[in-house]
Amino acid sequence: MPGEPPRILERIIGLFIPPSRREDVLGDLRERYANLGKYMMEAVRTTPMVIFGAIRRTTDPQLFLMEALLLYISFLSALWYVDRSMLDDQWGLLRPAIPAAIAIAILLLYDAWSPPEKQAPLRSPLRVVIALGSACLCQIAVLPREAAMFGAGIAALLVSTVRMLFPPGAALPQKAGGPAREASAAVSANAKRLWDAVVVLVALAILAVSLRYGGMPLMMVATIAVVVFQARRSWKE
Amino acid sequence: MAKSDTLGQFEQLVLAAILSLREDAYGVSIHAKAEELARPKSVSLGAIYVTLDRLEDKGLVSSRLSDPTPERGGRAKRRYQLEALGERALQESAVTAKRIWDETEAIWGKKIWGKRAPGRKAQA
Repeated sequence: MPGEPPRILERIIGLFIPPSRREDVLGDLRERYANLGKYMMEAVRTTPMVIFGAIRRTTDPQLFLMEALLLYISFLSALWYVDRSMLDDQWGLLRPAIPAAIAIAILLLYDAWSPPEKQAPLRSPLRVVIALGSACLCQIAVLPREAAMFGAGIAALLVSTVRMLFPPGAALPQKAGGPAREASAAVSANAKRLWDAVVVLVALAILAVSLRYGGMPLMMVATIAVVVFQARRSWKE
Repeated sequence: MAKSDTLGQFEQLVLAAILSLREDAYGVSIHAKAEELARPKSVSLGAIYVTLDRLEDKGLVSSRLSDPTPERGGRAKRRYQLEALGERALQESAVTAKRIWDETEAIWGKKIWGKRAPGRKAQA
């Protein structure tokens, strides 16, 4: 009998494995347990592949690109408004890419850890806000605080709206024998109405702030576009 | 009838392992069988998981969690089984492999079973 791995070690490894695969992967690793060194080595080699598999399964490439672009444009326009001279540096255009990359990485991992089919309707905007908040905290030295805040605000609005319109996972391949993604990822009408109200309020707040500070053309255009789009959709429904 | 996807070599290996294991196809057993089929190459457990996920997304295999067992610390096995689409894709791959085999055997004959691989012979 080769023994068994320490329970605390199993729990730590379990934290790194997405919940959808935690049960069977930890069981498989335990079944193959020979000694502690081999167990650790196997866990270190296997876990990244399992994470990669979960990300691949929960990420829609088109939605991912759309979100990445919106995040970058949001931070870029915020930096352009707050301190345009920073964009003239050698790596100026790279500055807004850093918070955008951090936010998109957090969103990817967030989706992998709680698959879209198991989401509550309003979880998607909530995780966007958390990702952007973390991104702002991580890159405070790269962007001025105002640019980070403005960028995060407009990005939260745009990315959350995109996620409500195109729920993550709805376009992913259907698992054999699994529940229909479209049905489980559908957002209830009440949640949509509530979200519409939140989007309009936040958009108006951003619009007011941008007018107060002398106008931020890109943000204003984006905000007005979102408000018009939301209003049109609500009117249609 | 939908056209089946073309399978990669590793996918064929994993599907063949599931086919031969029948009811007992789960992570560890599929890995052991795939290593046996891929000899002398080694196969990582992580690569098996990624491939199984991909095959499941393509609808070639399906999975379900079985009852927990004490030797796995009370954790369940994820058992895999071939779907009709997977069987057909594997069949098509096997037919193609057989054609390649017949063709190479006609040229190399029994030498293919020798100690020196055909690639090395060509280099020499």
